[in-house]
Amino acid sequence: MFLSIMFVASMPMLGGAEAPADVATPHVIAVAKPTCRLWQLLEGPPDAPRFWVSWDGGVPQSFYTETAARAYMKEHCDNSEDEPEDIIF
Amino acid sequence: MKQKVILKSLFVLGLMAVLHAQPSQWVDKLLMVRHSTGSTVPDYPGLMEVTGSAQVLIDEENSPQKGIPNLEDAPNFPISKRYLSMNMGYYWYDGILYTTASGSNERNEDGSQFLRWTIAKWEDEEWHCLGYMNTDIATMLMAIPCAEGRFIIFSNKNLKFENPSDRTPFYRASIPSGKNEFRLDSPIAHGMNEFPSFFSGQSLTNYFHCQIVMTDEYSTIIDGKTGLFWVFSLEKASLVKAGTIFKSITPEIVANNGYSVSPIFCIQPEKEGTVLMNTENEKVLTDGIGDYYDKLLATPNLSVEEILKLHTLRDEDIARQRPFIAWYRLYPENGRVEKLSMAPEGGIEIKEKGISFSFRPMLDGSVKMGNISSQLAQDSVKKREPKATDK
Repeated sequence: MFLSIMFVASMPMLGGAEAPADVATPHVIAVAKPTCRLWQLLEGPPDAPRFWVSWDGGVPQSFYTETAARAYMKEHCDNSEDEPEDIIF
Repeated sequence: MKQKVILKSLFVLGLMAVLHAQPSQWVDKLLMVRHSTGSTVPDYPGLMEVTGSAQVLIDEENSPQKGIPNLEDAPNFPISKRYLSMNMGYYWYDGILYTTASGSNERNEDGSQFLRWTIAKWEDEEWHCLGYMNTDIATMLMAIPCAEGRFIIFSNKNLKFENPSDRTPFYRASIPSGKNEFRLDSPIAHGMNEFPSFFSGQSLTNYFHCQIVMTDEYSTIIDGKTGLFWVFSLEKASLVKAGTIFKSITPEIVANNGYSVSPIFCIQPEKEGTVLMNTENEKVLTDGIGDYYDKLLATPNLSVEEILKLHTLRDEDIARQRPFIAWYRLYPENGRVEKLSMAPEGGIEIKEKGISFSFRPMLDGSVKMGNISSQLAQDSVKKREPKATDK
């Protein structure tokens, strides 16, 4: 699963000991993005959103267009199948 | 929540009309629509997991005549699929199909993240990369093809020009000869000065409520929540007209991101080059009906079943109190908006349970009611699923 990594600098260490003020201590926080599934409602109330994004353990999110659903998935899900590659022009 | 419970929640109560079909585009005598494919889950025929999609050209019987694969499915494309998963629309111009796509964030050498937007064209039965444009990761882009290799860029952000009077979601762009990176050439003023809040914040709130309608010479962008519209000349890559569908729109309504109930049901291009749409009757747009349900729908942590139940109740209530459907025609060449005295042939004027508000335009100027994308998805599901064994 792809890990989204965030760095937070200069946080106090647990237990009371603090890092020296002149040394930034990076903390790596791994945020795992879920693998999502995209659904289309084929039947339903006229004003209901047609596209839904779901994942185990999370409340499904609804969208009126597939474009909006995919924009959400891009931000919150990791459905990548391969490792990053160099872009060749 | 396990997938099974999710699916149970998503299964809805009965077959009713569907809305919010994206505009199609005329390609000679065929109509291009977006077609999602996938499979349904046993016991839940009303729900399809989307595992693929394509652009499909259909005839007047809604029968697919030609399919064009998504950019992310293009074989031998120089950009990895992971950077093309978010597609922002497919648009024909002068016989060529264009699209804009992005995907996973990328990193600069200093660790900062950016988005690479790829613009590609379908020509000679395959996808070709035209170039790219980099933005910050919160920016959305749609590139509308114009004459002489230019594009109109429609973004949710103020992209480049810092002068306050230049703040706009619209830009002209092109790719310099010999280069592969698109350049923003100039801003296109949005012309909505009578609505000061339209683009006063960090981003365009109604960006995903905007729909782009392509005709041979013009591109019309319509905000489905407010009825604000912009018509662009594709030959000149310039704004022809900025206007409003509804006379009742006020700066306060725009500041609240639109009417409480989305006024526009479906927008489609007509073969003659005009834009046809059906909407709520304007007289009821500010009557507050639906606000009660909007407040309920805004309750945090609603289950899917609760959301759909509220939508059902809301639709039934609104249909009882707002039974009439209005039709409008927009003339892109001058931005004139005409309210039709009656529905076009084949169109409906009264809401009926089980009848979709969505429609498709026909060659003779009539319309056929129904959601094409849902119908195509249902057809594809039926073809895939094994037939029941006869007794």
